[in-house]
Amino acid sequence: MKNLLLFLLVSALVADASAAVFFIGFGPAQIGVRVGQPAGVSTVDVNVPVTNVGDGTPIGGTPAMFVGAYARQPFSIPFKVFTLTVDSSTPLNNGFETIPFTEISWVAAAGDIPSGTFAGTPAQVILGPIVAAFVVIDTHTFSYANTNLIASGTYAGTVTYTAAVP
Amino acid sequence: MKLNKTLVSAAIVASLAYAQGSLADTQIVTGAAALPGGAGANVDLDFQITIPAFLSFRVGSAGIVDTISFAPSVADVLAPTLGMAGTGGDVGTGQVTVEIRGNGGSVQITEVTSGATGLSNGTSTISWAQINSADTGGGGIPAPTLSDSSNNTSAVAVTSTGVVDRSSVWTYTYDNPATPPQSGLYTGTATYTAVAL
Repeated sequence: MKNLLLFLLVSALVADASAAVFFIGFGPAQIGVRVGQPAGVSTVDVNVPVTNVGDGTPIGGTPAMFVGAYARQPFSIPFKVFTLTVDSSTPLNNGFETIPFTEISWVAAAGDIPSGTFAGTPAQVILGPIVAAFVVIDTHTFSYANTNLIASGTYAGTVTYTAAVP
Repeated sequence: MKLNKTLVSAAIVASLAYAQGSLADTQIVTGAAALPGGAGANVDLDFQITIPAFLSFRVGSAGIVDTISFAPSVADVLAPTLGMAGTGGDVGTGQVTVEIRGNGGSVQITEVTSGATGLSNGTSTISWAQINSADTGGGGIPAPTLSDSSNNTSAVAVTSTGVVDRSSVWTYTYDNPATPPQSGLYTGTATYTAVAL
């Protein structure tokens, strides 16, 4: 039954779900993380209306993204914690100009993985430390601050989420 | 119970597939990577921001065509002077506000004037070359030299990569010609066009 419970909780990471925190207890070391769709890297699109370029009006991105992470540790090392960090140190670029990720923030549907703004750093902690016996999931809706008048074009960039037991 | 074991087996297989990176934005790791100090599990999320191109250009009052007037006295006409000040314009004293904002690169301004030989009173003309225009606001928006043949240009440099965001003041003056023109009211229109290069 313990394994069945783990299966159900792992499935919660794979399937779309609303925000929640689940206790999974202890067992063989395992860490999981999911952002966006289960398969393939998901993309948040932001399209700035021509009348709002650089005027400071926040522009919402679509779609909202599932974000989930969990960690489990053996009985032999109980009460360890895990964190979810994000690397947003490489700005978006259009080939000759850049937008720092500090221009992008998110609102959490439930706050289990809290709302925030990318720091533009390699290891920004966005969740935890949390005892490595829980699954935490939420839904994040992103927006672009749009505070600077910048060159036209399509800017692309990638952030990397890491769940780990320090 | 057999059903439960089958489900658990499926979950383990799926977890191994994730650990091998077959699903890029879901990763589950076990073993050393999952222990304290291990690398942990990581996934990517892409962002794409589309910024459309635009160019905004203003000369004088917003939404209104301003008139710059010169009214030389008889003495001025008899003793020609250069650079006579005018009146009118949104700033006054023959001055207008000029603003350019755009994100498509540097900008070129082109002048096109009415009449082939200058401002007209119906029977005679005063050459556009006698109307001087200068960027006196220091904002880095050079005024193209007005001409009867039109199409003089000036270049506006970017303020940052791909972006022009400038504001300045253009001042117009009138050069009284050595040979006085026919008396009368001379009118004409200068049209400026800004284009991103």
